[in-house]
Amino acid sequence: MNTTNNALTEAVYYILLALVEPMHGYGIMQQTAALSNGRVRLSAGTLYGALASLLDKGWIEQLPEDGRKKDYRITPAGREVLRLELLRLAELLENGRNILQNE
Amino acid sequence: MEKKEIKKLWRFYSVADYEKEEAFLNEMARAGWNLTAVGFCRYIFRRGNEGEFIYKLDMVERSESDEVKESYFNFLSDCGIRVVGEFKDWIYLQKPASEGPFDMKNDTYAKLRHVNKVYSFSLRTVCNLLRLFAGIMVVLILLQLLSNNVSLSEFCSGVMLGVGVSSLIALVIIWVPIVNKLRCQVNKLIDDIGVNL
Repeated sequence: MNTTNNALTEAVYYILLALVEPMHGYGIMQQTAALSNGRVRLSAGTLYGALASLLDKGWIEQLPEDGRKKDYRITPAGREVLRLELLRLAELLENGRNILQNE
Repeated sequence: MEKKEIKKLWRFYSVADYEKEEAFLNEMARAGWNLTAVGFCRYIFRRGNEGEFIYKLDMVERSESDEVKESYFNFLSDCGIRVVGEFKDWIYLQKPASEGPFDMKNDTYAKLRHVNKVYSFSLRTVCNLLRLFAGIMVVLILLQLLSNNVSLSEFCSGVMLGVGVSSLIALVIIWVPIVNKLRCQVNKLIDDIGVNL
């Protein structure tokens, strides 16, 4: 499994967050735009490629198909990746705040 | 008099100029001409409402299985995107302008992935041309070796020289600048991401 200290891209970070709830592709796009107040907009191509590689890494899984739309959900491995990413982000934030506040 | 509903235009864009091609299609759409089909250097538009749709070029490897392609096309259609044309590995995407742009303006990763696809497409094309060229040469050499006829043999070596030199020149003139341009785009995007910082 990944993760030593690789930063996640914003797209991957938001996709993983969105998939804490089972969701299909278009739902992920809308959820990501909503979470980031419209700042992060995933293109269909980016999302499609990211979903394929996340499935490959085992960070998300595909739910049994119901109709044509495919639903995805985060896996325990994916949650672990998010947890480590939060630690990394917290470190960045804390160091930045400490140093800039004491200026 | 009946208003013209269909417009056919010829334009040439090299693979490296897909951004210009997109700009051209979007300009037509703003003027009320919506792309409906694509061929070699050929674009067919139908009159519609001004600014109703926006367009984008994407790439799907033709070698990919129908299943993979179908799953991508289904995904696009779930996202409100229609594939209006296909040519070689290119696909032409259409979406209502009211639903916002296809992607973020400054998504360097997305751009890099895209340019990279175009770059490998152009390299694949060069390899295919070289393979075709090598095939023709082999046939001509065999013909020359196998024929006892002097004039046929001379004809073959003449053709060989002509075909060989001209296709190599064409390859250099046409493809080297394209591949170079794409390589520069890839390098610039890699710099933007900050790999070299």
